Amino acid sequence: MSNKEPVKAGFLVIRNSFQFQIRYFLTIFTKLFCMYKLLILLFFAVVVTSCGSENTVAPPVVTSTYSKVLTVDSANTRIELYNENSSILLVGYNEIGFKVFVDNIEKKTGFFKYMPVMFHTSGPGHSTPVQSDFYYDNTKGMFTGYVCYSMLSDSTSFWFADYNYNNEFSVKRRQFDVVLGTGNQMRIWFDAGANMLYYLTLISPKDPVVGLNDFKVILHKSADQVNYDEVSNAQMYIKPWMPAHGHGSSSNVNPAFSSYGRYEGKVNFTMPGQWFVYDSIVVNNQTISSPSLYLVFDAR
Amino acid sequence: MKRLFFILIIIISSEYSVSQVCCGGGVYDIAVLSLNKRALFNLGYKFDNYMGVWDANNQWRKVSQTYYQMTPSLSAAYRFNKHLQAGVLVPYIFNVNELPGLPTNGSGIGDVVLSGRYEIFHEYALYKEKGKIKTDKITPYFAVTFGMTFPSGKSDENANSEVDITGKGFYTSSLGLSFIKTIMKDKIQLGTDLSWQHSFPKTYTKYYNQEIQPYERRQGDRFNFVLSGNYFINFYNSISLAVSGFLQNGYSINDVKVENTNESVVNFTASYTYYPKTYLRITPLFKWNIPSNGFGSNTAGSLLFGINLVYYIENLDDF
Repeated sequence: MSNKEPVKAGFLVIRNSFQFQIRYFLTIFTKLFCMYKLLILLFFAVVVTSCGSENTVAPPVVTSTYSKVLTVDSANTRIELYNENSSILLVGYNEIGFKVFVDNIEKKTGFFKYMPVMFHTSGPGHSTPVQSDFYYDNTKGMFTGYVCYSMLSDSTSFWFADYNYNNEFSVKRRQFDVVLGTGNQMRIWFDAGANMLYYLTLISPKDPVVGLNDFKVILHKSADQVNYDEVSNAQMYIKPWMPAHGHGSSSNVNPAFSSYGRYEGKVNFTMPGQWFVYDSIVVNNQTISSPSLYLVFDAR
Repeated sequence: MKRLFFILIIIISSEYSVSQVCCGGGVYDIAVLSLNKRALFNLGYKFDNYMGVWDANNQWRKVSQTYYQMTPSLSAAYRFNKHLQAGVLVPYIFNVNELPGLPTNGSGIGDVVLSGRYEIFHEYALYKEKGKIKTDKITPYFAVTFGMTFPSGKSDENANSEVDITGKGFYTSSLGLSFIKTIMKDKIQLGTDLSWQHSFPKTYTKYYNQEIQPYERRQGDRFNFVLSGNYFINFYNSISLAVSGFLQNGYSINDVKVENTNESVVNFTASYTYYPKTYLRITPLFKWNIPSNGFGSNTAGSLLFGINLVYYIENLDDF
């Protein structure tokens, strides 16, 4: 083998002359250019083929944040319960949904009713705040609404629920579990003057951050712990307080009524750590909340 | 030379109680004179970058947003006689805290500090023994320090937002002791400053400019400490290392103490001092915390860069 000839091993080349290096560089460049042209042709072929196809409309991508929690079967009906961002049911506010099947055909019209009841081994049972009617949401593909579980399941307390579709059929007394979840909060107090139980349930923030957070709560009242009404005529005044440092914060926005018992405002956590948010609630010019009513947050 | 050492050691070991943006903006930086100086004027600057806070369980909670405070300040001190001197500090506070949807910066004059010290002993004092003049090589420098912080800054009572806070909003007094002992003449000195800081109650009638049900809040009393060591490289240069910190009782609301609100922290400070002239001193410094669990409680941790430019007027009187 001559000293001036290259030794080839695939793409590996021992370059032992300048002339050869130039020649070999040009060869590789030409090959790459050819490959580049092939790629362009391939790209156009794909584009043209796609444009000419009958199946050009891709199916909508459903990016649901709901997870299936449980399925209830009865005869030819099947009901699936979903929870947003969780595959379990949590004490406090849950954004839930239902899929209803009859003879394996999904129902998408009408309304759906969900009636949870807690039974205790001792003492009377009770229900919990829940949306009265669930309606089908095409974007989510299910009957959607909320429920605020006031207690968790344990060895002496059991949750059961009745399910009703459009007053056409019902599935009754099916047991399920509710557990404590981080971020969910609910406060219950009795207003002796009005002989009424009030339920304040946090919707957000469940994962608070340092700075401004959307503050959303829902307020219910109940005289019998069976029927719950959304309170839509309250005024709320919040005061964030960092107990460890003994200061509050500025730029908070008191929650204002938005819809169906919901109140929305802003809360400012200026530092990481534990914060209390006191909520003073006035209904019909009467303060119904106690001074010690507050929600607890861990801002990060 | 020795007097220059005095200036250095006392100023370096002076207390740096750096305020948080959220909790007030008082800056406490005492300028101190040696025996051969009549007065001083100090132009200071601090950049305090907040890294996080420790919670009540001493757990470190990191701050992720841009969050700092800049404090240019003017201070002056005057020596009345061999034993007594006094000083004043006027800070100006710039706050930056970048959080979406909130005001990001604010500024204003901070809390003005008046301070003084009564010097009982000076190192290397001359004394007469059997008719001969001798030098006392044993007695350390010892002084009683005192001060008062005035709420001249804007507090959370009348600020519009956190970044507008430039002061604590209440009076604070301090009483302390200051020791200095030369270990190796012209080379190594050790110093200690201890002080007890008492905060006076403040009655809030507004909070962030909004009317509230009045209540009284009182910051807990605080014990401050500084331990420092100085090494004098030569006539023009020296370096210093210091460990400082505080322990503070919990605050109280309407005379009821709130549990689990004690504060504490340990700081470290490194500084270098350059003396281009006998009447001029330049001291850049770094102060830092260890941002880990267990090095503080209910307080903020930060990384501070500061620089002081001090101009001295000689003392021509023979004390």
